[in-house]
Amino acid sequence: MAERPEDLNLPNAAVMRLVKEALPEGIAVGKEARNALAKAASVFILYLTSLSNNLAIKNNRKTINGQDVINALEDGEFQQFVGPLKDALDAFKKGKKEKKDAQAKRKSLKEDKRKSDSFAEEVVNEEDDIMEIVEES
Amino acid sequence: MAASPSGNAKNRELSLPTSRIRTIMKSSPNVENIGQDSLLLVTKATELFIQHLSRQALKQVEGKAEHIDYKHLAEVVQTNKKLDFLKGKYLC
Repeated sequence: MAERPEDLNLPNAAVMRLVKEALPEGIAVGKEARNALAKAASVFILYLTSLSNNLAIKNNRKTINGQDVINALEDGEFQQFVGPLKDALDAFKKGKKEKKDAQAKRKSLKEDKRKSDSFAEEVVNEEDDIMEIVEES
Repeated sequence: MAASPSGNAKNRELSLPTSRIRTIMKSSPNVENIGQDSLLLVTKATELFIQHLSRQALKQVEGKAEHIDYKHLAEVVQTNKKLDFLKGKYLC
């Protein structure tokens, strides 16, 4: 499947938001600089992916994992990113667990409701039976 | 992605679209599979990289102007060895 050129670029708005967060207020960023930053980010992704993939292959794996990325950053002299990245990974996993627990809880509540609903139905049916017997007598 | 009361909200939110980043990663030669953890880390690393590059460019103008231009980024790339992978790749 051929990729369109824009598919290999990041959305400009998202890039600019990150740039603005990093800079104090009042600093303007020229158009060419903006484009260059977005482009540099794409190149960085390819660079980091290539380094990470090489590490995966070295370990006889076909899947790039988180440790590959962390090791690649250290090799590329971006150690300063490793701390924040580990925090982000922890927060992400925690969020995932919370979501999973919440889903499990919703599922068990649903099960409980289903059981109590069918119990209520049984009670109603029993009442109907009793009413019939009463009317017959 | 909704922020959660526990933990740093910023750590849970990503500013860049992971689907796009996945596409870019897959375009790299010889890449077979991308684990979910690695996609998250590459996304986050890219965000940090953009901010790092911006701050480095800012150092080039500090005190002299309030406007970051292409030349400031070019200077940053020229003077940082770890940014060698960016040399010759600029398009504007």
